[in-house]
Amino acid sequence: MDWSAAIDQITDRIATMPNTRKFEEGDSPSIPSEGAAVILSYPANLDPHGTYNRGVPRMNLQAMLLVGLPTSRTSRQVAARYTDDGPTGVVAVLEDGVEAGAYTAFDEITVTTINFDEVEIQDIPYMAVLLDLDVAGQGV
Amino acid sequence: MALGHGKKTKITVDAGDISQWTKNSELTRGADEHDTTGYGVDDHTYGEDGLGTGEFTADGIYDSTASTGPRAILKPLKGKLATIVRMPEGVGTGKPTETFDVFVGEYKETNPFNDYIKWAIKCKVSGPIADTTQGA
Repeated sequence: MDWSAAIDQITDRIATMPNTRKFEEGDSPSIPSEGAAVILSYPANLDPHGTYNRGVPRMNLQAMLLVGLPTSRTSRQVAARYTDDGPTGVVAVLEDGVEAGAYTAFDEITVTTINFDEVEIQDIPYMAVLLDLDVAGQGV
Repeated sequence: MALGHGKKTKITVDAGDISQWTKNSELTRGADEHDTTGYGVDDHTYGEDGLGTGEFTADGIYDSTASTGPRAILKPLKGKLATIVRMPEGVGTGKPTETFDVFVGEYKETNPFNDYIKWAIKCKVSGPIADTTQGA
C-alpha cells in the first residue's frame, strides 16, 4: 500500500464536501465559513502482514476536521453537520468513495470511531472532529 | 535451529494462488486406529498401518475479484475435488512442498458488522500427500 497516496486520496475525498478545504502544512489553518479544514498526518500504525505474503496491508490513521473556535456555538453546529449519519455526512462520503472509485491506493475504508477534542495549532485553539480510520488493501 | 514464520506460506487451489487472502491454514495428517486389545491386559494396544486420513482447513479475508479472488476460486468447489499445493515454509530451494487432492466439504463466508468479510474452507484429504523438495 502506498500509504502516502492513500492519505492524499482520503484528504481529497473529504475536501469534496461543501465548504471544506485541505490544510496545507506550514500554513495557518483558515477555516471556511460554516465549514472545516481537514488534516491527515502520519498513520497511527501500519500492519503489512494482514495475510500471507503481505497480501492485505492494513493501517489505522486519524483525520482531523477543524470546525472553528472551541467556544463558538457555530463550531458545534458545523461539527454536528459533518458527523451526521446520513448520506451527506463525512462517514458516508468517505465510505461510499469505495464504490464511487475515488480511491486507487487502497481497497476499503471504515470510519471506526468519531471523537471531539480541542487541539492547538500554532498556539491557536480549535475544536476538532477526530475520525479514526481503518484502511486496508493494496488498491489497484 | 531454523524457525519458520507462517507469513511466507504459499497455497494454491487448482493452480489459483490464494495466499494473499489467506490468514490461517492447517494440514492434519492422521491414520485409522485399529484396536488390537484382547483379554487379559490392562492397557489398549493398537496395530500399525491403518488407512491414512487427513484434513485441510484454511481461512482468510474475502475478496470479490472475478476469477482470481478467493470467492471466485473456492465457492464453486463445494462438494468437488480440488488439488492443493502447499508450501509451508514459502518459496525457495530446498523448502518443502506438499501436493494433495482434497474433497471440499464446506465453504463458509462470515460477515461481521464491524470487520471485513471472511471466508473459510474445510476439506478432507483424498488420496496420498506427495512430499517433495523445491529445486533451484
